[in-house]
Amino acid sequence: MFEDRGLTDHGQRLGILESALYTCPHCNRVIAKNPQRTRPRGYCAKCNRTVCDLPVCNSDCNPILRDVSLAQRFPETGQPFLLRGPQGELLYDLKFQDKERIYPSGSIRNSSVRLDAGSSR
Amino acid sequence: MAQYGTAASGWTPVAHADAASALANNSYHAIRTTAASTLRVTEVFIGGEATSSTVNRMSLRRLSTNAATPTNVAPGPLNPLSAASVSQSYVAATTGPTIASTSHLMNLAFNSFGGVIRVVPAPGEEVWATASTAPNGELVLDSISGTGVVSTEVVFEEM
Repeated sequence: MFEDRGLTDHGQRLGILESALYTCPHCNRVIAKNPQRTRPRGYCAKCNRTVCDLPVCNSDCNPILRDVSLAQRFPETGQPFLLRGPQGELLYDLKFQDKERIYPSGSIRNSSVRLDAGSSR
Repeated sequence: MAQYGTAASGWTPVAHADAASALANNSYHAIRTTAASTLRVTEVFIGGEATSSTVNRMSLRRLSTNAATPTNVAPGPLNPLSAASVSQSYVAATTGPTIASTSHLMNLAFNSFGGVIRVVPAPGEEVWATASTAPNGELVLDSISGTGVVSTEVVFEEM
């Protein structure tokens, strides 16, 4: 009876149930898939992974592995790098994200392209 | 990398809401990293030992405050050739840990009257902890509701 729902009852009447799990790459929560769900799950194109239903996990890419790296580099700051809020939001000071970037946000001036460069006189 | 198993046998959970503080000894199963260690959880096993039907809602959560002076229990290497684990587990401390009041990493509800739960994340989908300081460095497996006796095992890979 479980196979048509994506579940496997190996034990049949013994009550053994296997269910698919996945882990959200943004908040690190382990999600058990509901086999009766029909609406689509969120997807992060940067992570190339399925994300959970928390709003921020669906709107922003905040990979947990980046924050593991931050937690290793800045443990003395006491920032909650691996913690997420109830909506999946980051709880640490965002200035630490710039320390992981080669070019901190806002540091690169917009380049311009002159479209009239080839005009003749 | 080397993997290690930590076990807590026959303990009675206490229902801990989010943000519960100073958890009582032997009412949880925690693992902790040190400043120089990082781990990822590769398996969580819970075996129910209650003598009557009792639903336990077990959860893996992070901490907002680490335990003070935990009584370390050295994890056992799955491969005897592995070096001793830097990370430690504990079920008792001078002052118990405080649970973070945010989303749970795993929710595992089952009937502890003989029920068993085994969670094995796929490679690359593990739960992480690192660098000792709260809330990044420790994980606790305990009950949200239900107090049926359980034995638990957490297997982790140290990076």
